[in-house]
Amino acid sequence: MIKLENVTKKFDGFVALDNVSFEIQKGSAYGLLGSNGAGKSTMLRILTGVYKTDGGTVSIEGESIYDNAFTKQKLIFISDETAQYSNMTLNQMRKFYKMFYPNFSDDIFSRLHALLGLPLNKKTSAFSKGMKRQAAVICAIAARPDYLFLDEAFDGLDPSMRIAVKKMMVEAMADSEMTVVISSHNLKEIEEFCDTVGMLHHGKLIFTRDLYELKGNIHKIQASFEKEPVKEDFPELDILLIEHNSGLTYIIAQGDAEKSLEAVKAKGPSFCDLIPLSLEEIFIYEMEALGYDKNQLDS
Amino acid sequence: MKKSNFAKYLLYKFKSHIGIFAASIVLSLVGFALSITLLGIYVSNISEYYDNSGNMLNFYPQWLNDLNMAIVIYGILGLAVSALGLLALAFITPILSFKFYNNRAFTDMIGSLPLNYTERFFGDFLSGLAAVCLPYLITVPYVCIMSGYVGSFGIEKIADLPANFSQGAFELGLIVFSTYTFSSLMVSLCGKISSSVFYTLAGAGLIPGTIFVYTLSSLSGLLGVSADVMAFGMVHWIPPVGLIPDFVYFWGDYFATMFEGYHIIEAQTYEYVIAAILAVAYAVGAYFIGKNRKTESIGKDVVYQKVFWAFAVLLEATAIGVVFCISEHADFITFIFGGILGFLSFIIIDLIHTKNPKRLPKDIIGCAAVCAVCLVFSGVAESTKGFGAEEYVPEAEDVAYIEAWGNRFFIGQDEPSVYEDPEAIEGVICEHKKLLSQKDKLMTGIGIEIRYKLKNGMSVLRMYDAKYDSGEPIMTEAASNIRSLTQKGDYPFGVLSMNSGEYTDLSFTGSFNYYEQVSEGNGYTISETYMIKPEKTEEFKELLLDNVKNTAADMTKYHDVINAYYTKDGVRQSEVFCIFSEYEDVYEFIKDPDNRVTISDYRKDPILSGSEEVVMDYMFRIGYRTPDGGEEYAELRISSDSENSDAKELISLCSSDLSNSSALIYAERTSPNFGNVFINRKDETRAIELILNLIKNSTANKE
Repeated sequence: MIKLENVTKKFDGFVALDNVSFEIQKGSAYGLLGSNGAGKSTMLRILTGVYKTDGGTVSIEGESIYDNAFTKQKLIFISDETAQYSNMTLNQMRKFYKMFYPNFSDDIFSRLHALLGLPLNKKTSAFSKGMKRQAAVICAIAARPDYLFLDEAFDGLDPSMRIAVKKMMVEAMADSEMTVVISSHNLKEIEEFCDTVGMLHHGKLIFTRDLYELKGNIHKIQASFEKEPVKEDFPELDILLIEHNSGLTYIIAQGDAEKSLEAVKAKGPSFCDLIPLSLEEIFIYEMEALGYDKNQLDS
Repeated sequence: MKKSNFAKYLLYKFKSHIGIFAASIVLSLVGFALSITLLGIYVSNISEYYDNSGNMLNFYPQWLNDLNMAIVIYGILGLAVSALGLLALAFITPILSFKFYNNRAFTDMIGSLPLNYTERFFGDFLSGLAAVCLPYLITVPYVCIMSGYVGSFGIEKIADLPANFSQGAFELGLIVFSTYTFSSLMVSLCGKISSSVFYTLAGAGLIPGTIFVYTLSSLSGLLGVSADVMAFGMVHWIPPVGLIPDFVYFWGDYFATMFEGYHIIEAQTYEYVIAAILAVAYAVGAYFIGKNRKTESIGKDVVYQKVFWAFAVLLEATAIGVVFCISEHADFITFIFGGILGFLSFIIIDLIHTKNPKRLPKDIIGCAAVCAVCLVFSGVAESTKGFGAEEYVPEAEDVAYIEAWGNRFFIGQDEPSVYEDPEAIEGVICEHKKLLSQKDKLMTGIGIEIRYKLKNGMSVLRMYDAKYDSGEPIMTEAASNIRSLTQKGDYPFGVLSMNSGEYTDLSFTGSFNYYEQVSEGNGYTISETYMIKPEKTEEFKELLLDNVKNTAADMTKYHDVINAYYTKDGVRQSEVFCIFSEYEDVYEFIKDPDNRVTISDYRKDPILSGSEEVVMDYMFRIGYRTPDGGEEYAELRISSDSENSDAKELISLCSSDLSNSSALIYAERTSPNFGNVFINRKDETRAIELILNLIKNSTANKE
């Protein structure tokens, strides 16, 4: 388990992470969300021992990470940079990771390499950004770490490769109970892959939640009334937002979806239906409920 | 227990430096290794040539002379290029090795590897060091072995070569090592490659540069103090830049005179030790700075802002110091000019760094503070006469020995007089203090030079001369007194081996200066060469030695020079005596026409004019090398009345109408000494044949 308690990180007075605390359960796929500059990369560098915290503690399985080779042996960090591999071939990358990670599996590497069809003995400087990222990911998966950290993991990958890489990671997680932490500003990617998400904004952790629980707890009802209802007309519902558009009323509420639907139907609408919410919509409504302005979040 | 990944990381890093390693091998090999190999080939061939030569008068074949020249040229150019290459590698390798500090992609990758800081640092540091220095560590033993091989031939003229080569190789190795550690330190202080390059170059120059200019400026106006020597000495042990001038000076000079047996070794062992300690200290500094620097400081010019300000202060102080140095006596105007120069340099570097003109008020305050410190330093140095350096005389118990020499002793004195006896050391110190008590009559010069070699390995050099208008022979008196402190039975200069009596063919020649008044207020000096008549030479010798031993030299008046020629142990030698006006007996003797002859006399001489047939001796001296590499001379003496046909033919080839510039072979006419006669170039081959025949016949007759 990864545990952060009151972690703070400052850069020349700028607070990049402000008193952040959360936990990531072993074997989970954790998605770290946030806009540019939210602190996602800083968080990953702290989690992988690249940066030292200015306050608070961070640990993996109870052990500190910074300057701790023992803990670092359990993790691999694939950053959003790929220049470090430029002087290597994929084969040399394999040897590099194999050198430091004794669990490295040549079989897995061969299988993944065959799947992606990357050249083995060509310098990665000749690779596209996406190919470099694929190369790094297959090496990291083949190394079979307990914890894999990926910064902007799917950046530069075309749709088919995204699917392939996700599939590889899911298989690895199933095989070895690997914990994966992915940062991204793409909610759709996270929604498809992660089971837990956390959102950073301006260095603060806005929330961290189980994705299924999150999705199950919030819902959107579309209905048509003769007279546009207001929030107070549904005292039994925990309504986050009620909107009216082109004669239709949209109610975003928390709680049991069926009960909410019954409660709306009880008001006699001419039309009433439950609409599935995207993760993006859920986040927006959730954060609006927490008092954040939607426009502010976009920035 | 977790197994360390250090060895794996070290291997990985070393592999990444394989190109540097290869370049270092090539440069090491083309440096000393190739030089010493060529030299080994040269020496072994020339030695074989000596061994196999039935005739000792054979000349070197052309290819050996060409090889000799090639080695010298290669030594100057090839070694310089390889040394520069090695320095460049030592400078740039830490920037590549510590990519963690200046490349964000590597920061993420290396920073998350299963290594702790110490493992990572030593992996980075040692891998780069091995790539740069490992080939050198292989080369040096090879150089030592080859030097020993070269030395084993026992060739006298290059007898010092093994030690010198080994020392040179060691010295360059220390420079390379310290360049590497210094660059590592600077890389640890910087977050960008460009700033690493800048601060390494600037730091390597500014630190010793600042010390140099302030030592020079604080000592340059002092009496008797050789400011440049002391300033150089102050930075001599600050690596890497402090060591470089010595290496360049030593090897440049050494190779230029490789086969003349002449070399200079300036650096002392303790200086190497200090330099090595400092080089290691740089590495230790790099370790701790790296440990404490924040990973996120990558991308910044400097990790600690104070580093920038330290460099800015050094730059400003150096600019002011340079101005101080230019002016021997720093005055008010100089200070102002230095301050303006320092201020401008301060502002420029600050604007480049911060790109913020709003800092100007702060810069003015900072600059003014630095100027004030520089001024106070210079003022204190001026008022305290170089912090007491001008009047500093070492305590006798601290002195190992003293060397004294200078124009006030004897011209032609190649070696200093050495004083090791405690009483003599006390005496020299006493004379030094007496000189200092008359400072107003002295200036810095080469009349008397006193070098104290202290027991702690340091040395103190003081140089004095009298002011031209002093009007008193204070230097002469001091020189005389110091000279009189020489050990009994020794002569205060040279070997003076003609005193031993085991000589032949003693003769004296010299120049004798007249001052002739031709009209009031005007005059001119006539210099005429004289020779002591052969029958008077013994008498003159006794007189000269007696004067040398007992008469003080007074340089307040002009002197004359006497050359003494004699043969001792079969070797022709000469010594130079400077004759001062106090050598009254000698002067009287020379002036007496009965004792000497002059060139003008010779011109009237019937022998020279050819009007009278006289018997003359011709002496040819042939130089050759012995099988063990030593130098020997064989002399061939033939008389003009010889009946030998070869001798007659040889004499017939001699001409007095030629000169040194147009002939290579000449004979000295020794009885009496009438100067040289020369062999025309077209007759050289025949002359050599005749000389060889005559020497062989002479040797056969003796046997």
